[in-house]
Parts: sequence; C-alpha cells; structure tokens
Amino acid sequence: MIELTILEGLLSRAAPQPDEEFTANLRGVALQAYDRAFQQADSKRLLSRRRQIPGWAVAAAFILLFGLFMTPPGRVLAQRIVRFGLFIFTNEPPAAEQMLTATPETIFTPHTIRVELSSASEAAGFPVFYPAFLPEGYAPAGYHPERTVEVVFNSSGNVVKVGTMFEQIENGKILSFDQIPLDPDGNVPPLNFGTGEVEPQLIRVDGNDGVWLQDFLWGTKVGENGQALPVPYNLLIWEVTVEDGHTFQFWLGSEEQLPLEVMLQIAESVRQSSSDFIQ
Amino acid sequence: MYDPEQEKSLIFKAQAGNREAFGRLYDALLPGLYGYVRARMSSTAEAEDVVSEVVLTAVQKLQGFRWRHPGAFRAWVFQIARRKLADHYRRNPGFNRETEENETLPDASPTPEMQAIQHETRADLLERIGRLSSRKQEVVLLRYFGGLRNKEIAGVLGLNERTVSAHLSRALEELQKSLQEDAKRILFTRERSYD
Repeated sequence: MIELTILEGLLSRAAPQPDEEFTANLRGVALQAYDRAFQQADSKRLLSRRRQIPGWAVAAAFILLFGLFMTPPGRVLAQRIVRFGLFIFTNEPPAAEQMLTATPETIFTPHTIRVELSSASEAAGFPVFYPAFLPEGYAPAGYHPERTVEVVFNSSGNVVKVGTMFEQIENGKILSFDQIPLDPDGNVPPLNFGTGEVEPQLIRVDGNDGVWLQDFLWGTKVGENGQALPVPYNLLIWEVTVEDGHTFQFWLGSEEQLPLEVMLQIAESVRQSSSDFIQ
Repeated sequence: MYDPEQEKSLIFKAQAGNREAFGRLYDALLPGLYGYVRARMSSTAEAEDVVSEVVLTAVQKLQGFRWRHPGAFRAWVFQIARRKLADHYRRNPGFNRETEENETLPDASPTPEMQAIQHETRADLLERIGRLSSRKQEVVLLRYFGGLRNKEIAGVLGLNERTVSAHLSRALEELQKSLQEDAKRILFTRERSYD
C-alpha cells in the first residue's frame, strides 16, 4: 500500500529546480526591466495627474447633466426628440460643449468618497453593481488600488451616483461605469438631454431598454495650452429594476470608443457586487 | 519559501518602486514557476525561454495588478504562465513533453546515484501524471511542482476551491492506484521467479 503522504512527498520532491546561473541571470534582466517599467510608470503618472482633470470633468459633466445642462422639455425648441425613461434626447449641444462655456459658479463640486467594492453597497445604501467583464488591458484608474469605487453625494447628502473609472493601461483612455439610483416613486419630470448631431439609437441591453450614443462629446480634457477640449465617447445607457424594487440607470462610457458589441458584453456582465469581482 | 501573507506588502512596495521588494517576490516565485513550466516543456532551454517571458510580462504588467487576497499575485503570475505555454504550444504544434534523452535535469542531490534515482522517479511520475485528464494534470502540476495552494489553483484555473480539492483527491487516487498496480506486477514477477 502506497501512502498518500509518501506519494505527495515524491511529487513535491520531483519538481524540477531552476539552474542557479539561469536564476541569477534572469533576476538581473528582470530587475533591469523593472527599472525601465518603473521609469515609464513615473512618466505615465505625471501624465495621469494631468488626466485627473478630464477624469473629474467627466464626472462633473455627468453630474451636471441632472442640473445645469438639462432643461424641462418646454423650454427648448428641439428638432429631434427621442424619449428614453427620464430623458428626452434632443439636438441641443452635447454636455461637453455646454460645459466649456459654463462659468465656475454654475459648476458645483460634488462630495465624493472612495471605497472598496466590498463596502460600496453599505456606503451607498443600496445594492451596488459592477462589471464582471472588462476588455483586456483595463484596470481601475487612480492611486487607490483597493478603493476603486466612487460614491458621489449631492448637497443634501443623497447619493447621486456610484461609479468606477477604468483606464486602458496602454493608452490611458478612460472607461467609466456609473450607477445612478432613480427616484423610486418616479416623480421626476422628464429632462432634455442634448446630443448635438449624434443620433441616439434605442436598443435592448440584456433584456432592458437602453440607448446607444456613438462618438458623443461627453467628456472634456485639458489641452496642451491648458484649454478645455471636448472628448468624444461611445456611451451606452440602460435602466434596470432589481428585485427589491430599486431602479438604476447605468452609464458605460468609453473614451477608446469600444464598439457596441464589446460595450454590450460589458453591460451584460454587470451584476451585484461581491468579493469575486476583479478590482 | 513563499509566504502569501507577506504578499500584499511586497506587492505594494514593488508597485511603489522598491527594488528589494520586487527582488524578494522574484526569489519567492521563481522556483515554483520554473517547476511548473519545466514539467510542461520538452527541454530545459524551452522552459527557460518561457519562464523568462513570463517574468518579463509580469514586470511590464505589475503596475496594473490589483491585490485582492493572499495568493492573488502568485495566481496571477501562473495565469500568465499558462497563457505563455498556450502560445508556445500554438507556435510549436509538434510539441512533445517527454524529457530529452541526454538531458540532465538540474538537481540538488548530493551524489550521482541519488541524482539518477531522482531523475528516474521524476520521469516516472511525469509519465504517470501525463496519463491523467488534462484538468487533473494541471491541478497536480500547479500543486506539487508550482507549489500553489488550492485557493491559488482555483484562481489560476477559474474554478472554485472545492472543485480543485476534488480534482486533486481523484488525481492522487489515480496515481496511487497506478503505482500500486505496478508494485503488484513486480511482486508477482518475483513470486513467479521462485516457481
């Protein structure tokens, strides 16, 4: 009878060991590569600090959609009207263009906290959702490796949105995922949403109603001379009512302008957060 | 010896530019990584190439890695290793895992006799492992050659820990049975020789 412990001992001892010279040489090469990678990361970090402004701007622009740049439908003469949930999409200038002409007094700074995904639901006071799938090369953006989720509050202390910004490691482009809790009583009047020349397409997202906006000026970034520039995004918006009755709107925006099929793949992977998610 | 509990601190330090922390991660990971890859390759040279690729890829992507739990980093490195091995198999469709005839497997045994015994044992065990299903092979190699814990193996293979444990138990039973059958055969041959 061969005891399992003996067999396990045999297996453990049978593992081939690397040659000492190979180990030492590879260590040297790896350290050189590490130094190079770290120097590049330093440069990227400097760039990334500049990019924090566009990151903030995307968030701010988004927040502003509910106030500054949204108007009751009666106040504008829209040529094109597409209705989706709360929104009436019109040919008014898109949010990013409007933001460029906004005065500092009209832009409010939301109160934001950053939390780990595992405590996001507790911080928000409702179940937080998160994509289980991301295309290769995307990782949470920012300097908080664990606290990847932003919870944004308005001045009344109510949660306006919960979001995560991911960054394409190669080119630094942003993929933003936001979850907006909608009024459970549905008492909010519809709001105009300017999309300029971009035609919103009504589509189905994982069995729910949604809208696809391609090449839509949604974010802003700071140009070389410090001026604000609008940045086109592909934007997928959809609404989901979950079992406990909460209705959420999800916004998935891609600066890299990922195609609809990839955006749908990400959207379909969205589920209530748990410790199994890749952060 | 790899200590998953120290992993978090070493990762964060390495991601912040601490060379010593990176060096310690390398020292801790390399033996298991090499053991696993070598068992999957037909020659030491090929194994060294693949291991080098894995290490350099891990260095390049280190900044993007996000630590989640003890063992996550090692699981991540072995996932890279599996992808590199798959790339290697695609580039070399005639791949054969059998050990080269005249190759001396590196060994720390003190005497040539012990080295010979270990070499034979290793080749025999590899041959028996090769008869297992591919999933069981992976689990056994990651566990005993890579030195991973079941939770880490689950992370590498995208399985839950209980499934890994079940695969491992069944794989060990099959290996045990295979060794017992051979032992009986040898015993039977000896008995016959006394007739």
